[in-house]
Amino acid sequence: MKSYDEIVSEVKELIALKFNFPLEEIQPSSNISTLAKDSIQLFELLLSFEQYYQMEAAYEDVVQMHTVEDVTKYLAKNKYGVTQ
Amino acid sequence: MIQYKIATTVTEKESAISLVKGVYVREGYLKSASDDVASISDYINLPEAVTVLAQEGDFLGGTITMVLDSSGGLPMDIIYRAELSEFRSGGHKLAEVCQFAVDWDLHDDGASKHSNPEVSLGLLSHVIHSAIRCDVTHLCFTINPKHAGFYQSMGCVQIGGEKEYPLVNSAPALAFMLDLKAIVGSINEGVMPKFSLIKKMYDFKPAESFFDKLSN
Repeated sequence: MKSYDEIVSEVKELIALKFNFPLEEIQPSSNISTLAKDSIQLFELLLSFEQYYQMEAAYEDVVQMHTVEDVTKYLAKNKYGVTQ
Repeated sequence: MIQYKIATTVTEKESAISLVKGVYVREGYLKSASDDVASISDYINLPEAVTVLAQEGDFLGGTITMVLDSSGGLPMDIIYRAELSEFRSGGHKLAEVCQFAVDWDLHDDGASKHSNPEVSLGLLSHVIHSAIRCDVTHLCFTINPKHAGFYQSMGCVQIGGEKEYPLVNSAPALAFMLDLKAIVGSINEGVMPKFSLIKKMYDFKPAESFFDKLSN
């Protein structure tokens, strides 16, 4: 079982790796669409979360993830059953 | 609500060209909006082109174009003619997807309930279904290598190695191809793509009225 904070760190690291973005500049409130350099890169990030966490996210939920916090909350709740 | 339509009027095509130029300048594929080395307007205005628009009200937030193969060739023939010739000689009907640009986040300062991935997925889905309606067997893409993973997850395979692409400010490019018959066949047999977003892309059924303006 992972803690919420561990999931936050993982999500931020995945984004930093995927977008080649400084980790320290990624905040929970950061808009993932702004961090991505283009729409395909953003699409790829969402796929990489599914791959990394080995879970199939509902399409309706995925397209509503706008911030790092949205992604973290979704993964924490749906993969690990934890809340903030 | 996002509406998808095929651009038919001069105004619609000019709006699509303007959107593509804006996004390409931002992403470094064009030096400036006046630098039309990419011949964006040439491709969108081709009689063999099908340009799909994603709109919400009057706001145009995404566009994608499919160019059907003809005696004039495809845009990617500039660097991948040899790679395509193998498929042409095999009797396949080719088309190329190009001028793909999404900027939905500008909409109402992000107030729309829709998002860039949703619009990207919708546009790709509409272009895939348009290709199927036009009896295209293989859909081609000239992509930036950084996007290879995404296109592979769609079921595309690489058919050409990395080259400089003069049409996009000499950015690096790879040639990818989607065998539509194979992908539709495997989905019909219950072999679904791995990711939910990709599943949705193939699952998505455009409204029948969308195809009214599609001339085969």
